[in-house]
Amino acid sequence: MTLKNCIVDGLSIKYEVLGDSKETILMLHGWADSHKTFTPLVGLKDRYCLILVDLPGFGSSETPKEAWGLKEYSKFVADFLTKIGRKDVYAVIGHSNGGAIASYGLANNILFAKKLVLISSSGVRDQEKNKKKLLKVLTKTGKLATAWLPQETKSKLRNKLYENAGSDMLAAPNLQESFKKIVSHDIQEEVKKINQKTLILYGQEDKATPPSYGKVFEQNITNSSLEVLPGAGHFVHQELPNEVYSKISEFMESK
Amino acid sequence: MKTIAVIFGSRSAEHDVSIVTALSAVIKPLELTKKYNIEAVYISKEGSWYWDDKLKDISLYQSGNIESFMKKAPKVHLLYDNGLTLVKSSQFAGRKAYKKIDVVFPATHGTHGEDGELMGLLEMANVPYVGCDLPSSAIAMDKVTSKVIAQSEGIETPKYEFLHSDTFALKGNEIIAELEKSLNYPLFVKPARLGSSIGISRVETSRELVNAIEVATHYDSKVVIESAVPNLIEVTVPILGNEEMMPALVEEPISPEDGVFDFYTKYMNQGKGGKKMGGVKQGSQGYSKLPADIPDDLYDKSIEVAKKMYKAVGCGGIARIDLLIDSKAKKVYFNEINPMPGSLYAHNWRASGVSNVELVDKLVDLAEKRWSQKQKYTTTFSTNFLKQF
Repeated sequence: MTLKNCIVDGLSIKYEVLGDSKETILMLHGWADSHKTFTPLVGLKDRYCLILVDLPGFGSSETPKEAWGLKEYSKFVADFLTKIGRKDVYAVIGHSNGGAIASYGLANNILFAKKLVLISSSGVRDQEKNKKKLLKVLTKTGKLATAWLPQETKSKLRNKLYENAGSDMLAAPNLQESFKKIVSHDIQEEVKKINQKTLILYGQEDKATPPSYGKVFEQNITNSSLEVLPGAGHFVHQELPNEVYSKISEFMESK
Repeated sequence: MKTIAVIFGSRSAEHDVSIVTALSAVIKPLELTKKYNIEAVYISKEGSWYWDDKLKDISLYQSGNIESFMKKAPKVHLLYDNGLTLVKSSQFAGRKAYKKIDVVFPATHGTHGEDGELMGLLEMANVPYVGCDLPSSAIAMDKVTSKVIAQSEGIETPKYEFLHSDTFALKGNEIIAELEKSLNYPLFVKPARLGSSIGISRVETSRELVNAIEVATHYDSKVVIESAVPNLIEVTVPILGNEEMMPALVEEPISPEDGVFDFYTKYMNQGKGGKKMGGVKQGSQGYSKLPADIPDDLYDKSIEVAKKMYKAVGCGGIARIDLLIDSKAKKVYFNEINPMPGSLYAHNWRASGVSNVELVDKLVDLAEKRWSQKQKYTTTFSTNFLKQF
């Protein structure tokens, strides 16, 4: 399947459009992922028109020339939708960082939709603070302790250190500045402005974005409901495809 | 033992494809001849030149260790002294390492290499080099110029128009109207000087046409828009030789539904499609019939058109000519020339009875012959012009 191609904000963007309904669902993938993450959900195309885009820096799309935060990414999504002539979408589904982009965009009237689905969404940063602090300390002490080592050994050790500190940064090394910008942006307060009907799905075993984040979103988004699925981690839509698919289908049909 | 420098990589969207061509289809087979000493010269995506034996190992690029290699490795200097010598710091007591090059094997694809720029450097150095020369490479890389040459030789091309990005930015709507007047949908929109299907779209409406031109101008300031050939069979003919031409088999790539192989289908899914396609023989791209399944008259005509184009453009060493056939009208149209076919199209040459080792050996021989031929011409002559000044 050849992906569609367009130029948005000076970047070559690849995307796929599936189904021909007038009601559109936009799907936004997470950090270091691509539109392919939503393959288990493409059955929705029988009832809706699905737009799956590779966000800038990921999949087959070009990388932004400067550091982008949630604001730039959600503005990009709005520009992308205008470009392909689908400004108003029926629903947005966002996984992980895609959920944070969707939430930020809808809360700030950058994006427009009737419904929102957050799958293992990021955007709640409080609980990450400790981890980030740890990362900072480790990186600093790491730098000192390894100063005498040859460059290659040093960078290998540093990589190990980052991995242990649970950083996603290395998954996309050319996007480190964007990553830093995004993880320092907490959206818990902003999501209070979201008035769309929202379905929130989290995997019980998710370590990257634990179900407690889902609780925060549920409390702060007025018209929302949280479902925590046992036996699944961060990629809940891939680990429990049938369950997630039917929950989303049902939610889309509901009034 | 002669020394051959294989130059690859460069500032091109096809940088990675070039690494595969150089390492698998050029360096390895050249080493297997046991006749040459091979020097690997890698041009980074940023345009820095490196020369090192470590660059012959594919895992250097796959692991990403190329980045740390480049941080430490000395860059190459090119010494022009009626020939080409590679120079780099030996990192030993400030001494320099020198290597006189007998033949260069350019293995770059796309911009800043295959387009003739590299050949210009090599011409200046007066060193023998493999493949098409500066003018033929530059003509071949420009889809518009090569079509003009084809037409001047009486070879048919699909109906086409071309435009520059500046003109499109100024009078977009006007241009779309003009294009729609002179050409009929479906149309193909292509950056004029890029290979590997990057930025190519097939369009059927004005809206799609505008978008496709925007995409193509993202990659190149010159864009070609051409009518689709009906009842289409695409074929490609690799040719070897200087004046005397030797065609390989006519190969038929199998088009995907929308008529465009994008970069990812072409290079990233190698073999997958081929396996699914049962009886179809796999080409290098995993999607081709070898030889093409076309009637004898069209097969022969394809070879005739390909050879005519090879000669008209002035190709040397190797090139691959892509043709479009209207199977009902039995017409063969020229599409484009690739002066440096990906992996030399070694799979096709193998099927034609030329092994990869024989192929590279033959190419080195052709390079030397062309160079010797050139040395016969007088390029300087004495005058008393300076004395009169």
